[in-house]
Amino acid sequence: MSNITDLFNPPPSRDLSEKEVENCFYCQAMATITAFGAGVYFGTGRVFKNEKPGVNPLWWKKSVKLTGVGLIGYGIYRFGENWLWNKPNRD
Amino acid sequence: MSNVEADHTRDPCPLVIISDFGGAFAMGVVGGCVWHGIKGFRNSPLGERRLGALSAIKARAPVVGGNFGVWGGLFSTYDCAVKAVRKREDPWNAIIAGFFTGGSLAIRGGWKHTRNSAISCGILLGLIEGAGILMQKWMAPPVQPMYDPNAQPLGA
Repeated sequence: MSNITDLFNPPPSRDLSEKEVENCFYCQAMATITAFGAGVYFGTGRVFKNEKPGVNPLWWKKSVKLTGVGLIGYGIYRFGENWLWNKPNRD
Repeated sequence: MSNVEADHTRDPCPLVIISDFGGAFAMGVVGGCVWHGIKGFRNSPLGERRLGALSAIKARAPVVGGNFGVWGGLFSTYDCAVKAVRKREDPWNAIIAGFFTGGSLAIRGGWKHTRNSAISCGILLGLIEGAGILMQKWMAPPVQPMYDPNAQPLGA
């Protein structure tokens, strides 16, 4: 049960079943935290704090910031999924 | 959760990310202790070598562990994400995850550094995956011919 050890001893190739990739509370929590954390780090520009001058062109900085904003948006979407929107049909 | 209650039908993601982070951190700390212990021992004057080795381990081993941990955690995160998107388990997952991990870790160094690091990491993981598959094939026992007890005897 490790993605790193699977590198050295790869499991046979197969399609995952719906059950294996279905959404779960842990998945949603982890996705929300990761997306928010990375989004804030990229979006606020902290990633380029104390940078060497001239290494990062402006378009690159803007792209990274935009990615950060996108990640924050994705974090908000995942946070509310299943209880604020995209509610599962319980019929 | 006991083993009886554990749901083995589900893919181990995302809890495997935490386990991979810890495993990689531990591996890095152990390796860092050996590496920096020897280095600190060799670079210290006679009579201070044990203390020098200990100081080097205290200063550097947690840093190596942290670097390994961040790599392992990021790789595992991307591997789970790619698996969830592709809904398939094959060597491409690790290669794509390695590409993103290499890129993410080099993002502060500029876009050229990010691109080069992502490509190098993807290629490296492709080589590791390839070596793993080759080793598996090499270690696998040869396929034995099946014996059918009801088969009609040939000839006669």
